[in-house]
Amino acid sequence: MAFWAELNPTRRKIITGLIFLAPGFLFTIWLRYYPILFGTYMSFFDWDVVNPPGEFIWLDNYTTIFRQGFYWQAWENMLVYVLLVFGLTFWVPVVQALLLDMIGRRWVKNTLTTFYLLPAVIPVTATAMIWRWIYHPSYGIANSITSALGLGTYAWLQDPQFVKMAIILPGMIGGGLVMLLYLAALYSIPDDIYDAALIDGCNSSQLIRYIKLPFMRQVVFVQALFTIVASFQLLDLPFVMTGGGPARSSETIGIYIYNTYQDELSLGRASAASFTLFIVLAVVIYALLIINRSEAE
Amino acid sequence: MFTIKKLLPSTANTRMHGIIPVYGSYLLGIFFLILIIFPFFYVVSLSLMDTDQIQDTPPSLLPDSPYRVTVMLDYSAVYAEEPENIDLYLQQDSPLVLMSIPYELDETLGYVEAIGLIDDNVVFHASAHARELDFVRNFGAYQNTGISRASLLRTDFRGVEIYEDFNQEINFEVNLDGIEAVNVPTAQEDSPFAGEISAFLNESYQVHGTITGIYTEQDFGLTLNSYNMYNEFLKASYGEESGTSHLVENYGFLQFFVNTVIVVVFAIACQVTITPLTAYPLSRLFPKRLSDILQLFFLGTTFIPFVVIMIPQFRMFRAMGMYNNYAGLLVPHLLPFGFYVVLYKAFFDRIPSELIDAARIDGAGEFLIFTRIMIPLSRPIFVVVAIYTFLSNVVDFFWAWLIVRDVKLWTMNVALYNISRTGHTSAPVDFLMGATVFTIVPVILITLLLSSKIQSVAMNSGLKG
Repeated sequence: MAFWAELNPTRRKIITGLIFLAPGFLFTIWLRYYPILFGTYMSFFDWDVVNPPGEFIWLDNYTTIFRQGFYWQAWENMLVYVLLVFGLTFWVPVVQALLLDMIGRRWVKNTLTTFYLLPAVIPVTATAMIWRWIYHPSYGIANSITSALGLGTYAWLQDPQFVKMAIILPGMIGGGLVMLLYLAALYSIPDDIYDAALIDGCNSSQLIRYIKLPFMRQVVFVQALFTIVASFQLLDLPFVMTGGGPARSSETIGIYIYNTYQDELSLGRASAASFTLFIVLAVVIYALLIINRSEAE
Repeated sequence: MFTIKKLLPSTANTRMHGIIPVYGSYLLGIFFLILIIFPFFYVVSLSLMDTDQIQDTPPSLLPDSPYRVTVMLDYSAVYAEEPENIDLYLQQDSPLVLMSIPYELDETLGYVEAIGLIDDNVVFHASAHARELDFVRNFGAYQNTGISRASLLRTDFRGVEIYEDFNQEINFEVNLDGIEAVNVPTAQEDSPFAGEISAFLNESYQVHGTITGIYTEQDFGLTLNSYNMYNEFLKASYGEESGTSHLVENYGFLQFFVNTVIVVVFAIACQVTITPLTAYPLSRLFPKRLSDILQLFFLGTTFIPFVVIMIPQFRMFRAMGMYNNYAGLLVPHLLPFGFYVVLYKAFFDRIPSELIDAARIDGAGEFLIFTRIMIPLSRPIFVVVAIYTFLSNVVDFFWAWLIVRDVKLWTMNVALYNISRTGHTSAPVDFLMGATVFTIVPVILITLLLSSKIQSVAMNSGLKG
């Protein structure tokens, strides 16, 4: 250990630090940076599973997928999903948090908060099972509700026109972790602001408009950015609910990548699609980070 | 005014908002509560119905209370005439009674049993839960057959009597010396359906015994028994596929639950060991420039979401033999999550350096400082990471589904998806709904237990997004 004792303390700290860091560092390279590089590499080949890497075809995989209507349809679907999320479900947790904040009784508030949390842990497979039955053309309650309202019946998940809405709609129950974050923002409003508002004779809607919503703004904005990024990666729910159908009308890029790999058995094209998604996502995330920074100032 | 004040505490809240908005928020709050609970309520309710009731139009929301039907038969006369054939007749009467009643009677049935007597001595007892009989019709002995006397008693292509198979699939007991453990219903009133049942049993199905009594009673408890039947059905239909280990055959859904627990616990274990180990040198040991670069390196992984790398990572794992085994399920969780690295680092940064310097002067090594000073002082952040890891992994589906084929390795989500895919077995709807209930209930219970912890984590962790 003479060697160790002779080292100056700074060096010693760095070496110990490297030992501490080593497992995490290696796992990060192995499980994230290596796959993305390997995927990029594969995207330039007509990848042969038996004799990798197969023929080097430069950008042909990219030109092939760019010529496929389905590829662009997947992007289009994705944009529709983003719009639907913001139109239908994104605001539900905001409303729920405002409601919980107004409820004065402690036990009511706590009980409701506990139950509102549950949607965070219901797996997509279970959601899909339940809602597939709710949407069942002949035995589901979705149709018995619409027909009771005189709107007729629909084949929700088999109809290209409705399928995307039907996939997003289960989110309307809201709740989850996001709602808790909004609630935390509301709880962080100092009492003296309420006191001041009370003295000024603020009524309930004014309170929400001029005090509560401004305090939630930052959190809601960040969640909106998260929601956009998450919509780009949407995979599980449409996959489990419809598998991308009917006629690929609910397919996302994630499902497109999987189908290209699984059905068309083309690793090269699947990797090319992955890489385009990576680039787009990187640009989007970076842009959103910058927007967020300027928003925060 | 007084009563309203009693109902609602006169908090600052109420004074600010006024009475009507506060009442409104209670009502709307309960509306959302119903909205959140409804899917769960609906699936539990569906799982307790039989397939006929599930397919009601308009759909019914609550399961009917099913009937327990007991048919008493007397064989004294038959036994006196042809004692050598009594065994055969009893074997035949079992499907004639048990299969015909659910088919002919237009009521929700829970349990059907036939009790045979010779001189007030119970010699024959056959019984089955209604779900069992459904499965017999869908997958068992009477798969794809009509229900009539001829088809119930026919032989299959091997020349074996089908009812012999049937009697092995249900509770069936014959003992001419008398069966002890059977509850013989005594002096009950005949059921309202007695006439109908005895008519078709005597005329269309021609049972050998003489019907001496038909008793029915409604028993909601029978629906709860369905869950047991679903588990048995799972064991029977997927058990043999699970490989040589017989895990699914023995434990049913419990095996999937255990797999899920293994994955989630492993993921949490990794994020509370490897990740803080990674973050500590960034906070305390490296010069600032190196730390900043490394922090970017770890945070950069958030730019590489799962969808982007799933195919290369899948190929990689296959090539390394980590396919269709626990390694494939667990190894991806070794990745220190970039976001958590930053979280740990920020927390470590706030611990006063006097403590650490004092320990260094006393001759403590870095590992000792980490385990004895950093970890005990940063317990809150460990809880935060553990909770978040639990929440994000309990719903994880796609990777587990890609990397695993054997039934014995399925996690709950994988199991539910694979069972629900038509084409494998056309599983009956009530079974699928039962499987969904099995998947949700443990997660909900765990979450309710952890609820206050999760709430305090979300409220105080400063993870505003």
